Amino acid sequence: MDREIVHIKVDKVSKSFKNDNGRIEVLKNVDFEILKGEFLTFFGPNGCGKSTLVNILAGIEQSNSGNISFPELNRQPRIGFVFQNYRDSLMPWLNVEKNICFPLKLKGVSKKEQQERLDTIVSEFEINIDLKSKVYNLSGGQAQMVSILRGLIVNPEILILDEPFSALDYQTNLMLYEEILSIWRKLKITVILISHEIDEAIYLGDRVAFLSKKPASIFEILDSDLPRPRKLEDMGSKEFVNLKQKALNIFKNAAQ
Amino acid sequence: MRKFLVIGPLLILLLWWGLTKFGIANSFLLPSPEDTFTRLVELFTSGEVFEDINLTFYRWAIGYLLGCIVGIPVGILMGYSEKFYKSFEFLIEFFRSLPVTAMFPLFLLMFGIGDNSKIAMTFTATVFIVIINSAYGVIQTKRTRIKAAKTFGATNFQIFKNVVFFESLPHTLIGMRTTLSLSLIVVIVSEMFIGTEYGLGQRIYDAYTRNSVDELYAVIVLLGIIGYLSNKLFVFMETKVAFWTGK
Repeated sequence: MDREIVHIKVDKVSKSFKNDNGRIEVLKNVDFEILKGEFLTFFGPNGCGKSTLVNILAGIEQSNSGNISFPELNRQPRIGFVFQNYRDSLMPWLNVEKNICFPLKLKGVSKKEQQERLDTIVSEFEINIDLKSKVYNLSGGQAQMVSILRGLIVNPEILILDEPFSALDYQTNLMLYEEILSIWRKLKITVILISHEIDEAIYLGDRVAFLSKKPASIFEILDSDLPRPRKLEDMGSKEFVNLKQKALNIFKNAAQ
Repeated sequence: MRKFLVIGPLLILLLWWGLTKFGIANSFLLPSPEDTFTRLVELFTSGEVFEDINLTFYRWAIGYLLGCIVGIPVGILMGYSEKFYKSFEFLIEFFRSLPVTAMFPLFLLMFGIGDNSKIAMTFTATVFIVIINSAYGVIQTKRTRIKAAKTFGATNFQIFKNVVFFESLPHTLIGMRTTLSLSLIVVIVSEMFIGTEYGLGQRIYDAYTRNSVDELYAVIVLLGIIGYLSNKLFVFMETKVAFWTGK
């Protein structure tokens, strides 16, 4: 893996919003690099601006100052985005396959090619969901899997997951951890995951970036150097517990 | 549970029949169900009611459809632009709250006593409510869905066509269903008061002036059936078109 190549360079990004009391600063001088093929998790207090940061990375929001660049690309990369609230981000009037192909439809990809891409992705990840069914009939885990596939159908170079597990039960989360790790292994893409679960952030990520409270900046980045492939049991290992202890100390300081 | 649906109607028929049969109700005020339904069947077998139905439906359809055709796009625009919405909110709410029948004389002055004034009233009864509902449908569109479409690189028009339109559809349909019944009321009332040669409202009024109470009741029953069926049909269509509503 080209682990030493910088994929995304975030340079002193700041963002503020207007509200009734004037302007509120959300991000202040956020500065870090994401390596190509890396699994980076973001961890920070609620409402600290994690979502704003990934929105800026994805190009849905603009920063007020600072710069985001993709040094090896010299263009905007293809980005897949998975939202926290799958019920509100999937289109209930479209069935499963049309939801997955929705980004392709917007890009004007032909029906035939849409079908080919769909077949590839479904067989690659052994998806056991009826593609013709309505999305509102799916379980939470299935629905979130559909939105992950929708993020993947564009062949993304970067996959951004904004708290994709927080609306799901624990058992479903464990299943989706495995799915996401297997997707990451197979596609070798850069994954950015926002999390408010410290175990999840350590277990999934190569590095955990801690954000300070508002206005957020990168407080510290923790290397989560547990060996891969990781198994769920690893969450009970001594190394994991040590990492978690470190993480909690960082978080305590970051949230102050 | 379906069999329970007939209990209410059967009870009211039985009560109606009993009241007339045993002379409890004044037969001039309440004809028997037999007389009423016999007259209703006669209206059809003689064919005399067809022209009334035809013209009432014509006025109803044109006024209602024009109201929808104008109201839906205006409502969508209002929902899209907060400035547009705020600028016209008072006017729309004002005219929506104003009983259209209060503007009778105005319509007569502007459109004369022909079909145009009746159609214009039906249109007015429809358009403001359709506007409000369509606007509301757009306003409550889930931000996450729009954001999702944006991350996939959707243009504003694509967001409208692929997200906002569908999101607002259930609300638009509610507006259309509400006004379907309301516009029928307005057509009938306008026919009764403005007057016309043919029309169900006119027939009711004629029956009243001729003291033909069984015909009066027959046409009321007929209108009840028309109103009921049109609403049922619309609900059926609604569940087909906006099948995801409430899911």
